[in-house]
Amino acid sequence: MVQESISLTTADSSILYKNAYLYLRGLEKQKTNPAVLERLWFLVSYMPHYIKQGMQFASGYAERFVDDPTLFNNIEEFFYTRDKRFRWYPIANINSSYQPRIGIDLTFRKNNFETMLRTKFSDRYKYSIESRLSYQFEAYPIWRLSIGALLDNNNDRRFFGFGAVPDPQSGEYFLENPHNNFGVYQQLRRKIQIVSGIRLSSRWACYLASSFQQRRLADIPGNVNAIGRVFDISRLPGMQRPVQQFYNEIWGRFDTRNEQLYISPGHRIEGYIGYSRGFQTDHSAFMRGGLYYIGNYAIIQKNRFLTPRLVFDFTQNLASNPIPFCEYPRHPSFRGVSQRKILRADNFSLVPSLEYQWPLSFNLNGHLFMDVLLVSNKLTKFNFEKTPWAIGIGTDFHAVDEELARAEIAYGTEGIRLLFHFGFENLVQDRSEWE
Amino acid sequence: MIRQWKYIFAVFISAGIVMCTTPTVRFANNPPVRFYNDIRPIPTPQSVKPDKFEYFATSNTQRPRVKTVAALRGKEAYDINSYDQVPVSSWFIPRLGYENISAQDLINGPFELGPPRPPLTIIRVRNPQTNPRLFIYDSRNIHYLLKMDPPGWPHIATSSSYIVNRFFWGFGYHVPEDHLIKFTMTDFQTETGIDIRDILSRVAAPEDGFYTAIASRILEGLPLGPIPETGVRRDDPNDHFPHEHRRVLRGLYVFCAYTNMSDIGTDNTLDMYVGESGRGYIKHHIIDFDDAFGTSAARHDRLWAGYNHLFSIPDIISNFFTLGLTVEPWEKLDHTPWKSVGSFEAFYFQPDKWKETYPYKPIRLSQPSDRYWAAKTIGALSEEHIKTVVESAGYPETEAEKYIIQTLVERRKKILDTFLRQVSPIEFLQISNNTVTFRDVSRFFIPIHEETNYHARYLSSTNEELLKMTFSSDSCDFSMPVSEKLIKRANGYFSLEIHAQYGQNKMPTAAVFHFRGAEKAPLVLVGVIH
Repeated sequence: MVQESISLTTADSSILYKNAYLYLRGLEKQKTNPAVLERLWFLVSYMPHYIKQGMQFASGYAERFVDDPTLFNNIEEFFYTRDKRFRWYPIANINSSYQPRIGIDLTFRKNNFETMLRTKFSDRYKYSIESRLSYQFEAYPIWRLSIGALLDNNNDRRFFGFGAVPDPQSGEYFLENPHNNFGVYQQLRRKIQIVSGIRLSSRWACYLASSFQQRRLADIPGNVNAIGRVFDISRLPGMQRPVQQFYNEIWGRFDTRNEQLYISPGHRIEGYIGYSRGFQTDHSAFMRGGLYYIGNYAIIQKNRFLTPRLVFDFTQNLASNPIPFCEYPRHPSFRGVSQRKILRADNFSLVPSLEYQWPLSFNLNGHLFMDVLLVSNKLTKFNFEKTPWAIGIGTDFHAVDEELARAEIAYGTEGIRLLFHFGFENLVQDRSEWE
Repeated sequence: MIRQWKYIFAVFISAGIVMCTTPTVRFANNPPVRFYNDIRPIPTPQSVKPDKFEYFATSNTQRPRVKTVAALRGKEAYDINSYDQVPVSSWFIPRLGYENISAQDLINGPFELGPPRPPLTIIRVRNPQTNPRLFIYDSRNIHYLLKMDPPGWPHIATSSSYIVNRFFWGFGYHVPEDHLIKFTMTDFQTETGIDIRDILSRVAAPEDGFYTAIASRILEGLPLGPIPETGVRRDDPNDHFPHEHRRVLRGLYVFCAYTNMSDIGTDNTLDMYVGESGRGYIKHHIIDFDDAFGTSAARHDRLWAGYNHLFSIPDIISNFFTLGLTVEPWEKLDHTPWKSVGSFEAFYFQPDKWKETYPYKPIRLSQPSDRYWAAKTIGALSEEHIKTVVESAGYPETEAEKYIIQTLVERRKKILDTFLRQVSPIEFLQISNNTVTFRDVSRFFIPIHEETNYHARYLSSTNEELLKMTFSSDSCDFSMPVSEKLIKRANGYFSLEIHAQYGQNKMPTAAVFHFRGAEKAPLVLVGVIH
């Protein structure tokens, strides 16, 4: 008598669902797990196991949400309507110790024309509205002409004084026994601008920007840190009358990176020079210029980068009247404080940074950075003593071909700073964008 | 508070006692089910377009709660018979490893009506601007879908798709009838109003005046949408087993890892209602093999495909805290020198660490026994099968063809080395005169030079140990006697646990064979657990 492993037997799917498994498996009794410890371990590990599994599946589908062409089409249809001529997306900017800003970006495109309206809002004293009309040729050399206007009001600006180490006891523009080491002021900024940009190739780009900008700086008497309780605003340049400047800037960029938005090896060098002249009651005139260098050097692997960065800006006064304090070089590349703080103001500014970037996932990168902020009234007198510094860690998320979100935490001489930003930024920004 | 803890503790202890006293598995005295009749007529179901947003919402909330109960019942696949095999059904037909499938059989694969015959009439174009796909009728009025290679990547999708279509047919899945064809613009009817010249300008350039395409015959029946990834189709009374617990879907882990079909997911499956309306049944297919052999990974520079999910929070957290200082082996990968070959290699390939791009629930829930089942099928795919099919795939470069063959052979070895060693790979062969013959399939497929020992235990139905022995065998087949005395002592039901040990490496679990016997009655195998 021989039993072989081949036989033909049929089970029918009409067997009730609850019995189907037992019948097909040929079981007489329900199978149970004999190991009680295994059972208990399962019960104990149930939550961690499913949290892990849930994270795994949720993350997979969250990414699918971004990457899947079908889903992305749906999202595109959501954000881009009317044959993709109209686009909208939300903006969120959360910065520790400041009120969050939320907003919306609306863009309408037709043929080579594009019109954009962007708003950001915190409260009735803090808002901005920006609009722009552009015309662009798509083929190289890409040429773009845009005309824009901006209205921006804020009452949480902070000024810390002039020099590498502003000293409230120095007497220079500070009141005697000032209430604080910084003053909060209000700024109403109005700007109209025309930009003509040309991109000769994927490596070379330049533009010429002309703008008229008015800044109305004012004290906030009700505020305990009001600038009038810290500085002598009758002498502080820029506080007595509106800062009204015609500004022209020419800017150029050479970029050897293959992907300009994703991290990829290569170098980026930018340089600019601009001339600003006061208008009506503003009798100031100055020149500003700068040089930026960013290098992405692959280390460990081809997708881990050590990124040294050097940002140098200067301002040269061309008139007998002092330069308004709000027009000195700003430091958006210094991540230790918000751009709404003028932490240091002087003729020369240098922000050396070292950053390490590495991939966290398909389109999510991590970065670890250290920034230092140096200012001086002379090019040869930069001094590291008591200079602000910040170290931090963060992530940035790229969707399609632009950076969509960024989250960072920094620690340094100015304390801890948390930043979360969602939304696309303007790719071309001249120095009149310094808030 | 302390009293509450006492109660919780008591519940755990009670549960433990109850579990300890529950009886062990016992198989009925029936032969194994070889054909599961799930093709009974059912009413015409509705076509379903899966809601991925709903999936996203439920994957974190509803499903874990439902699975609390399901998980307590064990994680074994549901669609298996008493011999730990998947029976014939609307999902699966055992071929490689079960029938004598020659290399030519594999090349013929799902051949029924053959490739399309010109003139061809285009009725619809999908993705005309990006990745054109042509729906056509041939001169016999048979409906096909033509899929071409992307510009600059000749044969990368067509050849791999053709090979993997044949492999998956051999693995036992229902697949479309795909043909690798050559055509020219003159093969198309011109009065359709579709600018074929414009469309073909967006595909790989012709070779010697001929374009290459996969002609996939449109499946018969009414398309019902992808196979739901989890649960059952509520409109299919034949569908009894939650799909995530179907071994036939869990086994995709091994088959997709082998072919680096990292794009596997619901989109690669299709349910068809076959037969007359109201009297048909649902047949389940695996479709669309274009992304096998890392095709899209190479095209989109995603060399991580097959090694990582597209997005995984645990990985992100881990990468964040390790600052990317740990370098995964696959990160040293580079593209192959041929445009016809995707991101496909065997050196860094680790079968048990393979990951599909989007987490696919059945794959993630697969168990060692499921992977063992699938690996046995890969074992039955011989070098001759591989060589013959790849050589018929029309690779433009001889070196590329050799590379694919070599890679498939090496990946096969790694698959077998890995998945046949996650259980004790022992199979039942026959019983003759109360002597049971087994086969060590690991040694059958791969010659093993290390010392092999088998630890066997005979257990009664109440888990009482009746006999214990350790032995070695020179051959992959070995026999074990069963005395009538032992059968009598076991009251006619006993199980035989065989634990394989290769060198110092003892397999994690034993293979368990359940037997029934009686005085003067033949000994019968009634169940197998791996």
